[in-house]
Amino acid sequence: MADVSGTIFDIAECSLHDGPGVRMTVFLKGCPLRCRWCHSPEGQTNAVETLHFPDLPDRVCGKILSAGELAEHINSLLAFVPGSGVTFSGGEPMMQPEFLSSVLDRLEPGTHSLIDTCGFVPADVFLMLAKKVSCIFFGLKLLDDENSVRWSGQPSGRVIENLLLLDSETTTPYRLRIPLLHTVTDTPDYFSKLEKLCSRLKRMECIDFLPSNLDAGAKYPSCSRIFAPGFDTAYDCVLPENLKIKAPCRLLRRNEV
Amino acid sequence: MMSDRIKELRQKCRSGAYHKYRKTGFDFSEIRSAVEDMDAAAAEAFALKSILDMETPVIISGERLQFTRTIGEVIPVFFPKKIMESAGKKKIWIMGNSNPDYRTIIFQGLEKRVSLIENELEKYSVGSEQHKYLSGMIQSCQAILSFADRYADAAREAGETELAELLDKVPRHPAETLQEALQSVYFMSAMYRLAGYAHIGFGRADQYLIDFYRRDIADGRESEESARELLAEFFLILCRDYDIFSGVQTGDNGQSMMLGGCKRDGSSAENELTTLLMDISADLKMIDPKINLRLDRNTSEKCLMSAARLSGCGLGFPQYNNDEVIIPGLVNFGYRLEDARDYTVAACWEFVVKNGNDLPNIDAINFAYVAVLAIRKMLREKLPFERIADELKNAMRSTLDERRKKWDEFYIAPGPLFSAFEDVAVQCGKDIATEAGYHHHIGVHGCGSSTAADSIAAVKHFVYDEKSISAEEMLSALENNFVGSEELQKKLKECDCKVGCSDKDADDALKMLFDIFAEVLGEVKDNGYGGKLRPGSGSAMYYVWFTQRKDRGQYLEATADGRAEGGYISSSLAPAPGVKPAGMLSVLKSYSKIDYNKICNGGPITMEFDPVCFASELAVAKMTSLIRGFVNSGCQQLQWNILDPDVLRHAQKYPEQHRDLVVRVWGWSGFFVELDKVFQDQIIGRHSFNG
Repeated sequence: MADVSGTIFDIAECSLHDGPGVRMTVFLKGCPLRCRWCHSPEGQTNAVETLHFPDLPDRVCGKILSAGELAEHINSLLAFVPGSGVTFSGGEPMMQPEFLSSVLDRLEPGTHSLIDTCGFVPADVFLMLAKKVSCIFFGLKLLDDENSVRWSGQPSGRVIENLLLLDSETTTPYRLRIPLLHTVTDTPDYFSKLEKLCSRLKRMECIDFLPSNLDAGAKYPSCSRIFAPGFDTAYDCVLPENLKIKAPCRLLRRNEV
Repeated sequence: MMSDRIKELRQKCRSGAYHKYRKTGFDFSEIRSAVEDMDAAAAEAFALKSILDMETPVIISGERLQFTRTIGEVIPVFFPKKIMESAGKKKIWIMGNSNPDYRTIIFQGLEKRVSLIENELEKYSVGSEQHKYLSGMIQSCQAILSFADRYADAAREAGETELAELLDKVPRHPAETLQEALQSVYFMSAMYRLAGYAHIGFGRADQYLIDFYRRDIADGRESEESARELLAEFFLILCRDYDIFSGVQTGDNGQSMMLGGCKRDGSSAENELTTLLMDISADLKMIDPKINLRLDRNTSEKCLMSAARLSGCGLGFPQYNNDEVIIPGLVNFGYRLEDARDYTVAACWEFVVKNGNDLPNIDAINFAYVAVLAIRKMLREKLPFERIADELKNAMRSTLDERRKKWDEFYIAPGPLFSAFEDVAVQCGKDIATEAGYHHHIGVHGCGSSTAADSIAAVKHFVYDEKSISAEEMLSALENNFVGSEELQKKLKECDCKVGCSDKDADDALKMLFDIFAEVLGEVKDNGYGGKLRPGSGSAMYYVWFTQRKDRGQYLEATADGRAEGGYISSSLAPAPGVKPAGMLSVLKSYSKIDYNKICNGGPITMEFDPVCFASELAVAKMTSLIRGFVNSGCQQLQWNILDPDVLRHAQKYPEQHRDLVVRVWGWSGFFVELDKVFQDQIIGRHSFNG
């Protein structure tokens, strides 16, 4: 097996909220979106970069390693924890399809694997990877092109197409993960579009609405960036009671994210 | 789940309401002079009787268990001339750090015990050592019995008929109910304290209490609620007087309790009390008793959920013990299989095995200090890296030789009251501390292992492999405490070759250090008591002493991991302070490399968590997977602390606002605000996992 290399920017060995059981979450570097609320700006560019902190030494963010190395590391750590699994997040993990595919192929058989994706990747790549994992967390954002470009930097068409493909062309279990943001995704217009979209989905397990991250801006200065979300991040949004979606919908608490 | 009555008892306990019965300023000099010409056992019996005569029975209405200290100070130990002369200039080491045989105490009762000892007495001629020794045991038991009678009389006088019956019954007779068993255990534990024993634990309480619990429920004597309340009352009464027990810090009192595990025949010992006692501890959130849990692959999910919930309370316990490596390790060291299966722990983590007595906590070897000696020699003489094992061995050997000189300054005092309930001692008329039984080993802690392993890995990486730092440069930086070599120090500090970072070099060095430790200790064939030296991975308080106090020996100068003189080392097994480990799994992986078949004195992996890891039932359930991961990985012991450094800093500033804040210190938990600042600071500097 040719050993392809990839770039990751962090590994969380025991994340509690990124899937079933104890999760090891691998963060792959690089993302096609530029969501204004993104709390991992250091994961957006695909290149290794240096972060600067006022009171701490500079830190190199990003590590290049081979698929074989990463898979061996994951296998060695998960071996002794029953019911554990690995989650690939980012950034957008599907931005490095060959690398991710190769890591998935090398996992110990039976390892629970999950990709946390924004869906903005070519359809063939999306389907190839979606079919390889135990579960998909589909991070859905805006549902119309105008708002999508405004808030995330890219149109929404390809994302929605991939979501429909995931539903119809694969058997991989999936759930939607939607950030619930004041004036962005907590509007009547958004919910109505969401209801419409969900009516076309047959296999969706549930929707997790994620509250805004109060510390989302924390890492921007170290990347020499400015955090300007353009909405009130401290606002506690609520779900409408009469949401016409068949699958269970729940709003996670801040300490569950 | 706490009833209003238990809430009220807890409040009374925390507010020191029971201290009003205490008096101080006792004159013990008469006892001291009276015991001068006695034998050890007679002296103990006389001193105990005299102390008990000074005690005033206190009957507290509305409480189901009775005994409250009225001598409001730490009881001195009284040694006769005979012991003083045998000890010579040596420091007398008092029997402790162990668990009395409570099973024998509650199932036989003292009266039966006395008659058994009397039978043994007949074997020996009057005036023989054995006769004198066994006679002393009997006198101690009788002193306790007459004191219990005084308590019963006081209860009668107070019109507390039921309590009077209870106190008439136990510890004189075998207990028949849960209340009687608990009264017997508590009363006797108080007797041991008054007889001068320190660090007395409660052993396998779920094992010796379960029959009483089941019978009381079955017979309708207790409901599940009343039994739970009674057990809670038992836990609270253990916290009544610990401020006048001896220890290095308040809370370091040895009141450990072991739950779960297997029976002497190897079958599972888990029962209803295993989980119930943990649930009660989680309700009460007190620092005593300090719960230990024995685990294996078959431990139930229910038990692990209770354990993880208790961990989430932030009391620093339960301490998790992996039977799958501990029992084989103890057998490999030479203990009998049945005794090994019945192990419990001493005050902290050191394994206590029945039918003998070990001194599990006599000293420590500072691995980081050993590594400094070896590394400096390697650098000075430009030796190839392959020599590292030999140099570590030499340095370990010379350090041990140096320390052992100090051990010869100890004289181990006999413990007749302890021996009175040990069949192996009674049957031969000898003391269990150093003579009776099958084993008399000495435990030696191995502390500072992560700092040592990181230092070796850093030297290998930078000086030998990468050659980016010359031997001269490194040596001079170490000798000058990094003054003028700040860039180099930074490089050493920030590199990833550390324990807990899934770094092969650091993990290999860690394993090598413990292998060498076991080998060097194994070279000592007789520790002076017919036993061996038992190597461990704990630190006790040495992690503070060896870095902050030059008078304690093995004082640590700058280390090759970038740590400057005065910096802390870890408590027991944990990545070095200031290191950001790759995660909990990498930490477990590092420590799974140690060969625990050779390292069997105990010493837990110590992990700090952010409270968020236990914030929901789902999170708690995930933590149980980690506990199983700990068992499967083949690590030996594990303890979890829940810490928020900001809260700790606030507590340092405003202690009165944080009187209930509990932290795990080394092998025990204490109230943070009651610790000395050096211990507080070390805890604040630990790395915290946040999930």
